[in-house]
Amino acid sequence: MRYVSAAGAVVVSALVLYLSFFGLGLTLPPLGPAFNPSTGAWTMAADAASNGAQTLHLSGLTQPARIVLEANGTAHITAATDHDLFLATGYVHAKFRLFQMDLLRRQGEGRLSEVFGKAALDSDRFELQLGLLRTAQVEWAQLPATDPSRVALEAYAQGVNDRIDEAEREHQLPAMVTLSNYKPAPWTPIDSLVVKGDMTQTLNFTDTPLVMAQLEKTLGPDLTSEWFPVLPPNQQSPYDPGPYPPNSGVQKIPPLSTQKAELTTEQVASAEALYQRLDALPAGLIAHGGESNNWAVAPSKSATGGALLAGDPHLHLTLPAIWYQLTMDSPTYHVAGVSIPGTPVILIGHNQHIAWSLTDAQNQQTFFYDEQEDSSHPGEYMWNGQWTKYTFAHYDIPVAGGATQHLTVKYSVHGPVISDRGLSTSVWWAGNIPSQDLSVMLRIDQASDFAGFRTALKDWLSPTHNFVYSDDKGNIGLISAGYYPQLAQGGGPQWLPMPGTGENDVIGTIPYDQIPQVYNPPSGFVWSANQRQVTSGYPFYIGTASNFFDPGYRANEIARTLSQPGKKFTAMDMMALQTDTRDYLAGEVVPKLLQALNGEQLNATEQQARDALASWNDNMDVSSSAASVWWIFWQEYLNGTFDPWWKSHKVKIDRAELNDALTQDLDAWTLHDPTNPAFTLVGATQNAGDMMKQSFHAAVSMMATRLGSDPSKWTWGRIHQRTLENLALISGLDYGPVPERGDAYTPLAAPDFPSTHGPSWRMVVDWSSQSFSGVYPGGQSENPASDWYSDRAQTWLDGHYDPMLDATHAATTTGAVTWTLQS
Amino acid sequence: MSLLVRFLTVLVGAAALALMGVLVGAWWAPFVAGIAAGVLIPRGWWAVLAGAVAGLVAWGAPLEYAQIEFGLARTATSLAAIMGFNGAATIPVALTLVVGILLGFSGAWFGTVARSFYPTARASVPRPARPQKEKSGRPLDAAARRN
Repeated sequence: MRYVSAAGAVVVSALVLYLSFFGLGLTLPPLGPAFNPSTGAWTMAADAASNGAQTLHLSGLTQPARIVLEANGTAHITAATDHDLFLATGYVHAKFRLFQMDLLRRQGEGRLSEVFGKAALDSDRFELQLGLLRTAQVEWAQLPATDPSRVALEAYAQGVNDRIDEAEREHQLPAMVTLSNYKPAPWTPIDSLVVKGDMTQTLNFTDTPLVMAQLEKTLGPDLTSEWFPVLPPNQQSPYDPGPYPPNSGVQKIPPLSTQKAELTTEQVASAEALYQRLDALPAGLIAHGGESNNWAVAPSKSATGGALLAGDPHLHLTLPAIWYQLTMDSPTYHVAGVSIPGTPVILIGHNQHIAWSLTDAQNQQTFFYDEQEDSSHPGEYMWNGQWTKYTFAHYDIPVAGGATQHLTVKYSVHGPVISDRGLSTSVWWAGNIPSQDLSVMLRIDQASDFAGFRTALKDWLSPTHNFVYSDDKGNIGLISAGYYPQLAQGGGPQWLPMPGTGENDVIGTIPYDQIPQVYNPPSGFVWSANQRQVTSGYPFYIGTASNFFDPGYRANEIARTLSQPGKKFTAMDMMALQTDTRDYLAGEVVPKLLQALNGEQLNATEQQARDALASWNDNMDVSSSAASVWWIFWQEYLNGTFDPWWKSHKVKIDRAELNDALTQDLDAWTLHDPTNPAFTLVGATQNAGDMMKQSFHAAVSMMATRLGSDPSKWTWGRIHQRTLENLALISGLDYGPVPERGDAYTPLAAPDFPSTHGPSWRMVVDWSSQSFSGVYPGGQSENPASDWYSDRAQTWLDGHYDPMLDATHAATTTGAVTWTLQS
Repeated sequence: MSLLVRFLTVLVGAAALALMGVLVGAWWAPFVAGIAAGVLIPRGWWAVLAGAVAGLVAWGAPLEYAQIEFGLARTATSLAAIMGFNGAATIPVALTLVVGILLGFSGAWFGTVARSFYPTARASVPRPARPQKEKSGRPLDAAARRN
């Protein structure tokens, strides 16, 4: 009996200790350290309550500094030196967003598997191939010792590491770190540069040429060039209408008709394989379209007499948000706005004299090259008539719960080979050009006029952004700064994979003076919403209509609103336009639909739905049933028109992925070419009117089936919702889903069902009253137990704003606390 | 010292030891305290009870303190969500307490068994006076008999 008891004790003790020390791989963390109530994940409660007034000791701080935290967590940093300012910024970022920062650097550096196991291996392999880490290392190595951004990055890293040390010492590492059973490595300047690379990738690393290659093969070159043209088929509102300076230095693109592709079967198969590989990667690694707005209004159109500016960049909406709001004050910096945790700059905001915001410029910055190889020349590729050796890099990828994986990446002159089947396809991506973009942002943070702003942006490379500008003197402007690759024209069109033999290499960029830009235009306003910035008269190729540029409906609606004759705008009008839910496309097409339905036999439900559309104001409001009818009708119209072509031509690309481009086509045909042959493929349908009637019947029938027979109850909010997704994909920590207004084409962008993408920050500036307002969905803290985890979400959903205060005013607000920082 | 006094003394000592360890991050302290209880308390079931209670106290008291000081509802809900039990905030609380109890319990059981394999340890532990019988059937105090 004694031995049985002994055996039982040993087995039970061993089991308990094993689970406590080691857990069960990735499914169960080590129970001891993870759930220790004093030092484990439970400390998120103490962390959430640790934001009161206090004195902190930070290693590396040269003089005392101060952080004022408003009641909503907005941080105001005041330091006596720039070094201390960036150090404190690093500290406060890490204090509230350490897990997010670590996740971002791990993603870019291919180290997710080290924590999350083999499920993250594809992402890691791809990132190491693509080369964010290599680019960041080169950027850091090339940064002059005296460059202000070097000082900023080093001080910032010190601040982050101060917080990591403190969190480890006080057992306040983020719960997700504790539960994932790892300790964050010290932060380095290269990590910050990688985080910047993450953003570049998510905004402009595209797979469009791979998609186009498959469309060329299945739909054929004629339909592909007609349906996915370089110049958009629908009405656009370019903010830079010209006249343009003559092309100076790079070759003009030949007319489209001479640019038919001659892809081989092998090229198409390789493109398909690579497309499938990229398609299987986690969301956010490949850029798909763009959804951001910004504009500025001159004093001539402002009711208050000063310039106005509004900006709302649209990104994946996560908890924690991609943004952290703060003000930064030192002898040479006085800047307020939002920063990306992991980087030491304010990306969107204002200083004492200027304000700015960004939208993605969307030009093509990704090019694919099929390298020519031969078995008699192993490790080489043909380039400019010579066999050229690939360069190789080798990586080890640690995998939690598995063996370390080894990866060899090979590069041609174009960039890394990222295909894993078929031809060796390399990618030239502007994000891989070592840049000084962080230095540029620091100079913008300090600029005091348009000249300084414009000069700083000359060095901006990627992602190309539409930088909107306004200042306290009443000036406004917009510059689409960045790298505009121009290619030698020898082989095929650049929106398809090209031969890597040298004929199509990137030979330069559009000169800075010739990129899209305006300053104090006579119209009295500037605006961008990812639309093509220029007219067909622009003498350079910058991208095709498909994917690279937005369909243009948000831009059209913004331009329509701001161009109202005699209208004088206020900051409130700017806010109203940011939350405008008018669907410009609906405004164009619904009258055509009603016209098509004239004389059509409708049942009672259809008649009710039609009447709702007839009295509709085109606003995608939560309570609107007409909004639902419109949206479902438009989807049916797309389905009815294009699905037969997809089926007959055996197109493998998901048609929904191309809806933006096809919507532009269908819009243009409905308004101007109703007998386009696209309508004639199936049955008795012969024109747009026939297809609209058929689609209307189908839409109403489907909605009656799913939502009941009473159209008045088909409210948009029943089918369209918004969710702020937890960054670690823990659904229980999401905000929502909640009914939400807007759609993919309204200024208040809310694409998809549920919508997880949209205005990630809204800012409105009125220089006449020096009033600055902003809000983002989420909160300042990544800690789900904190009051600041999602406290701004409802304010944002309601379309309200918080004042953006300076440190002095913030310190006097109710609930504000002050942290004193000492060395 | 009676068994009850000894039990209570060891229990308090073990709980204090375990709690102090847990507070400084030594989450395994209840296991060690449990071993001590197992060695020092002569009755097996009493020992494992002491170990389990010590584990409960060591892991439960800081939790209770955090509840009073900061409030744990949102933290528990968040942990439940992370564990995949949306809305079931009691699960992480229960799991935490169970881990503490199991550490103390298994340590005490282990200590009891260890004690049983060390005669000196057994001999050094005073046992409650229990009448024993000689083969003849006459009651005899065992300790007195050895002397």
